Amino acid sequence: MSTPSANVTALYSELLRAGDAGEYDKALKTVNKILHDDKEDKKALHCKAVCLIHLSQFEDALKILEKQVSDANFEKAYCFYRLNRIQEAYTSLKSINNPSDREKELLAQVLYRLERYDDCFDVYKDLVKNSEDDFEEERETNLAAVVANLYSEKG
Amino acid sequence: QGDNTSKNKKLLMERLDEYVEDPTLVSQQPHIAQFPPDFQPIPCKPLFFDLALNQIEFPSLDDHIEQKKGGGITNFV
Repeated sequence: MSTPSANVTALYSELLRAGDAGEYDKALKTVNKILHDDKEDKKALHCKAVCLIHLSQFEDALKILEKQVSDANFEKAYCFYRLNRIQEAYTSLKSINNPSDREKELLAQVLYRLERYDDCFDVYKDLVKNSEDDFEEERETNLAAVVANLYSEKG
Repeated sequence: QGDNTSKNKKLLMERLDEYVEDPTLVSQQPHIAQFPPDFQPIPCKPLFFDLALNQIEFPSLDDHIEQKKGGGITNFV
């Protein structure tokens, strides 16, 4: 009994390492091994969906998330976003209570695609003010794109 | 009649909302639109980064990795 679980932990740390290194094709193989032992492992399924997203296989990721993982609204919304199902992305983001920064980030991108620049501007203003990461310049570029669209919309 | 002929000089594309019997439309060289059309300035599409992708990461695996440490120590003992 202890052997398979020790094996799974080893696989999990392998998975974590591959994920940190951004080697998602390798991570996908590892996570499939974990799922071979236990097809219902929610956490592994979640990780598999994350791998698939990074490998741009959004349809497959969404299938897993919709059928088997209940607490991954952010990832689900991101798949909708990339599959051009923007309205669905918006709806599933709105169903999240207490959105964290990453959810706000995606919401801002969704609002941009919905051409709701006023709302989008407000979300970005909040994000630019409150976030601290390596992407502040990119975020300000996005904010500038929103402002440009607001401006051209109002003539 | 004289009115008709002056309107005929407009291309079909420019008078879609008025009805004019234009005999050229059924002829070999109908006046439909100018081709190629004139260039028009439009605003460029601004750069927009997908920053949400950076935040797509594995859920916390701590509970699975922690066991490994425990296992490691028992193995060691």
